[in-house]
Amino acid sequence: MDLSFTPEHEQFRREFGSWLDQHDPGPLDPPATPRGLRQHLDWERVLHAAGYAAPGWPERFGGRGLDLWGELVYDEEYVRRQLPERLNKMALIHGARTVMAHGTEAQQKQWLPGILDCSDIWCQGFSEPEAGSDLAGLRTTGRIDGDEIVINGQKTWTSNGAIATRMYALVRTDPAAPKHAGISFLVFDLNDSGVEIRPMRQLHRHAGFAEVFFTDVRVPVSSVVGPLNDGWRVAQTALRLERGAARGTHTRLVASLHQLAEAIARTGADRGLTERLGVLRAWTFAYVQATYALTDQVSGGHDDGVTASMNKLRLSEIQTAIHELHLEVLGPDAEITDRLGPDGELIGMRRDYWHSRAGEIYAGTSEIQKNIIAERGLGLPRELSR
Amino acid sequence: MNLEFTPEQLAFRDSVRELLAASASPPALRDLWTTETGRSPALWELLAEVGVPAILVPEEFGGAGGDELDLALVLEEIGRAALPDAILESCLLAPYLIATSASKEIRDHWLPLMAAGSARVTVALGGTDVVPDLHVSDGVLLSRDGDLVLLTRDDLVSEPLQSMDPSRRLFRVRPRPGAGELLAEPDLDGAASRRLAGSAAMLNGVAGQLIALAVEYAKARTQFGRTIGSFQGIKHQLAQAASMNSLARQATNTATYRIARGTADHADAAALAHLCAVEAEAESNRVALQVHGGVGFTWEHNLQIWLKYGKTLEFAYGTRRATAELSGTAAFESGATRSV
Repeated sequence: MDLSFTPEHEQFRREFGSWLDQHDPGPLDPPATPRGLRQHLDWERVLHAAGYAAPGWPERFGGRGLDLWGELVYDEEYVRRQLPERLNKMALIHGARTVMAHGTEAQQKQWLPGILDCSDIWCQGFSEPEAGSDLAGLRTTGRIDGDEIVINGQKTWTSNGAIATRMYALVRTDPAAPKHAGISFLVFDLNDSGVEIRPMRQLHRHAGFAEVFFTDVRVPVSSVVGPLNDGWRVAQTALRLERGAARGTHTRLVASLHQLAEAIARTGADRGLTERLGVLRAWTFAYVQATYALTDQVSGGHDDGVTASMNKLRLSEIQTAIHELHLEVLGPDAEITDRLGPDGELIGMRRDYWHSRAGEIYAGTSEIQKNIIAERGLGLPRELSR
Repeated sequence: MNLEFTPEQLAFRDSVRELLAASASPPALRDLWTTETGRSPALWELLAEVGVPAILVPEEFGGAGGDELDLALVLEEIGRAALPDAILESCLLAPYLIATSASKEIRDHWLPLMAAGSARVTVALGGTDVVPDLHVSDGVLLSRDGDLVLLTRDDLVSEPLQSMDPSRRLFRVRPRPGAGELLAEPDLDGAASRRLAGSAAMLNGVAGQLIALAVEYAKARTQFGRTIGSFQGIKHQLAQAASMNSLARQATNTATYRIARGTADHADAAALAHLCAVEAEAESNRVALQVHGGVGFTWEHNLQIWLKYGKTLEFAYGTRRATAELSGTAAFESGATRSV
C-alpha cells in the first residue's frame, strides 16, 4: 500500500494548479444564456489552447495521455477552485470514451476533435418519458432504410440539450428483439431536419435540460457505434463511467463539508451539532478513500462494476445530508436568499442543496444502484420480471 | 498510489482465515461459552504458531517487526470469526506500548515471550478499570491519569463481570497500592489511534460476516412463493449496509496506513474510520437480524454470536458520540493534523 501520488503526478498538480490560478475566468453566466454560452466557449478555448481540455485522452486524440490518477489530480485541482462546469461534460464523461472504446477509426476522426474545442457540444439521449429507471424499455425507434436510419421518438431530461449540436443516443433498431437486444448506440447531428428541441427548466430554475423530439430524422448507418443492435452493451461503458469516475465529486463533497463547518462556526456549535457534523465528516473522509480505491481498481483493470454503484449511492446520501444540515443550521434564514443568478436561478448552497437531491436520481436512482449492488455484488436473485 | 495490500499480507490473511474456520467454528465458539475460562489454549497456540502475536514485536525481540497494516487484515478476520480472545490488546496495544514506552529491562523480558505467544498482556486504556481476558493474561497495562503501569496478576485484586455477550470475559481490577512498574512517557495517544483503527478493522470483519450470513439466508428462505432475497424490501437493506461497510473499510485501511507511516493526521483519521465502522456495523447488525426474522432471535441460531460480538464492539473502544465529537471538533481546526 502506498497512498502517495508519484512525483510526476505531483508535478502535474503544481503545473496545472498554477496555470488555473493565472487563468481563472471567475464566475460565468449560465451556458443556457447567450452571454453565458459565449463566456463558456471562450473559457473552453483557453483550456484547449493550453492542452488542458481533456488531458486524459490519448495523445493521438489530442490529449496528453494522462492515466486515471493524473485525471483525478486534474479533477481535484479544477473542482477545488470551483471553476465553471465543463461545457462538454457529457462528451468528456462518457460520449467520447464510448467512441474511443467501441468506435471505428473513421468515427473517432470525425467526432472527437470537435469535442475538445467545443465546436461540437454533445448531449446524452438515454432517458425517455416512458424509459427512466427501466432504461431498456426505451421506445425511440431507428428504422433501417438502405444506408440510413430513420429516427422517431422522444428523449427527455437531456442535459445541455438546448445548446447541443450532437447527441449520443440509445435507439431501438430491432423492435422484434427482446428488450435489451435490438438497441443501438448512435451518434448524430441535432441540426438535422426533424429534430425539435424544447428547453426545460429544472426545479432550481436552472435551464439546460431539454426534451428532444425526432420526426423521421435521417442519419447515416455509419452513426452506429459498435455493432448494430449491440447498443445496450456499448452503453454500459458510458453508464459505468458515469457512476464510477469520480470527476472531482470527492473534492466537491469536501468543499460542501467545509462550507457546512464554516456555517456552524458562525452560528455557534453545540455538542449535538458538532456530533452531527462529525458523522458527516467521517463519511466524507470515507468517500474520498473509496474514490481512490475505485480509481485503483479501474486502473488495475479489476473493476467489479459494483463498487462504483456503492460509491455513487453513498455519495448522493452524504452530499444531501451535508446540505440538509446546512439548511437546518441556517434555520428560518435557509429559505431567504438575497441574490439569484442572472437567469433568475438559485445559486450557491441553495442551488447545491436542490442539485444534491437530484443526485439521488440521476445516473441511476439510488434504488437502481441498490439493485445492482444486491444482484451483481451480493448475488441475490432478480425481481420476477425485467 | 497503490491501495492494495501486498500478496504476503493477503496470503497471511488467508492462512488466519483458514485457521479460524477450522478451529473457531460457531459450534466451537458456543462450546467455549460454558467452559470455565471460555478460551481455547489450543487455538491461541495455533495463532502463535502462524505468528499473529509476533507481528508487531520488533525483530530484535524475536518478533516479525511488522507494522499495523500487516495486522489490519488479521484483525478483520478476528472480527469475521467473532473470536472473543483479547487479540486487539495482546497483539496490537501491548506490543506497541511496551516496544515504544517500556524500559530495556521490561522489553527484554516481555517482548520475546509475547512474540512467542507464551506470555499475554491485556490492556485497559482511558482510565477504565475493566479489562478483557485477565484470566488468561500474564500482565496488565493499566492507564491512570496519563501514566501507564505494567502489572502482573499478583499485583491486583480482580472481580469477574457478566457481559451480555456470553463469549466475553471481563474483569474489574484494582491494583495493590504501589504495585507494578511505571512506563516512562507512554505514547497513549498513539495507542488510542491504534485502538480505534484496530477495533474498526474488527468491526468491519463482523459487519461483513453479518451481511454474508443475511445474504445466505435471504437466498435460501422462501415466502409468498419467492426467495425473500428477490424482494427489494430485503435486498435494498442489504445493499445499503454492504455499501456502508465498503466505505468504512476503505476509511479504516487509510487510517491504518497513516498510523503505520506516522503521519500528522493519523489520530484524526483513526477516529473517522472508527466512526464509519461503528455506523456501518450497527446498520449491518440491524439488517442482519431483520432479514433473519424470528429465527435470528432464537438462542439456538448462531446469528447471536455476531450480533452480540458486534454490538459490544460498538461501545468497547470508543462510542459513536465520542468519536463524532472528536471528528466534529476537528472540523473547526486547520493544518496537517486534519485528515479531511
